[in-house]
Amino acid sequence: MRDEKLLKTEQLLREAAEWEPAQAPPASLTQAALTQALEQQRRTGGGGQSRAPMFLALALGGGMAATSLAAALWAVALPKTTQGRPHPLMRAELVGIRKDPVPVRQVTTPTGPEAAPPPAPERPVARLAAQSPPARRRTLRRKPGRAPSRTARAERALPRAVWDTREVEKRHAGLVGPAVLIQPGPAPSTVYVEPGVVSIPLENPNIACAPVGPPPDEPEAPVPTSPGEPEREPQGDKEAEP
Amino acid sequence: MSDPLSDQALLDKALAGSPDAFVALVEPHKERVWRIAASVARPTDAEDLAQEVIVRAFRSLKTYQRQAPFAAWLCRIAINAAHDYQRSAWQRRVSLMEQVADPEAAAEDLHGQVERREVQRRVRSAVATLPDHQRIPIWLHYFEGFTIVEVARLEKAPEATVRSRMRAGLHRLSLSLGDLLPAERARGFEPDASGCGA
Repeated sequence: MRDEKLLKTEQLLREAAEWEPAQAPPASLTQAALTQALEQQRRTGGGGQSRAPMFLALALGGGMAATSLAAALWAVALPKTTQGRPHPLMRAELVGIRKDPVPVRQVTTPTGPEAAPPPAPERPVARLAAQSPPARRRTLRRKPGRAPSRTARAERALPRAVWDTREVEKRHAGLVGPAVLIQPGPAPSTVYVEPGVVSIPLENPNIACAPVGPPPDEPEAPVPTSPGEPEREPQGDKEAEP
Repeated sequence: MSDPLSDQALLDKALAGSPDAFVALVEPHKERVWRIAASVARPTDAEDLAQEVIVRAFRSLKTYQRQAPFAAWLCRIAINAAHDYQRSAWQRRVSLMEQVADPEAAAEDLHGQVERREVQRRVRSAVATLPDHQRIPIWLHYFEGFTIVEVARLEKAPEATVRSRMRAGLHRLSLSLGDLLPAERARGFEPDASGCGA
């Protein structure tokens, strides 16, 4: 059956072979085509083919050859020039760890009965305190479902209390102006507490309180502010920030 | 058919850069080229397509290896050009529009000549859409009258391979031209007639 179908198809082809176009070919067909071909050849600069592919191939080939050559030369030259040691550029990129310690700012400690040097800070807390607020937020923020970090757990373990700065003022009777929390450590050691209600880990032994500004009775009271830190204007309730 | 010896001499001159020799070489085969172009292209495009065939032949004259007849080589260029023409987006769109207009033309025909020519043209178009290795042997053998040996030389393939490709092409054509087969036409396109051939 299939052969029969093929035979019929073959018959169709033989019938189609008898087909003749309605029009005869133009007399000048070959000459016109030759003129066109010569014109194309003249435009493309000989050879009959466009030059663009050739230039593209040359450019690509040349670029690839140059890249391969450079890579081979580099591979050969690198061990010789560094004598087995890491290349200086590579070492600069790979080490990335500073051996010299970060300079720690001097802690300004208040004089007086609360001027006793605080004990060495607990490490996670100190690191947390040394961070800027955005960095601290990043540190404390963890993916949901993930156990909190050691720093975050330490921070949460600190008893927090809401303090009224007026209480501070009461404690330092006779003082006028906002209280100042002295926080020892490598980070900014002075924490400004604006008048009003603030929330800080007061039970932290690393934090001490000190008044700002001289009391009205005493003309020369110690102002434990770090040099270069500007005084802030009272702005109401605000979280203490280093 | 042109003289092979004179063809070789003209070919040598054309390869040496003589345009007159090229014209003299192609001119005897102009009718073949025209027939191939006109069988797939609309009358307005046939001349452009035929010219394109001759331009391609002029460009690739150096690639012609003299094992097969020059006419067969030229026909192969024409068949490939016709195939490219059919594949072009513009032609597909125009063909679609022409298919809509075809029934009116057939209705005006009293003697069935238009329908017959249209069937022939459709068969040639179907051959032109076949894959390269099936299209060229079928066209050259059935439409241009070249022998299997000549086709095999042109294709640089064994004769058995050429025959096998032609058979595969015929099978494919029988599927695409199923409604034109005589038995199918006589039965009036019965639904069960298409499935019994397999």
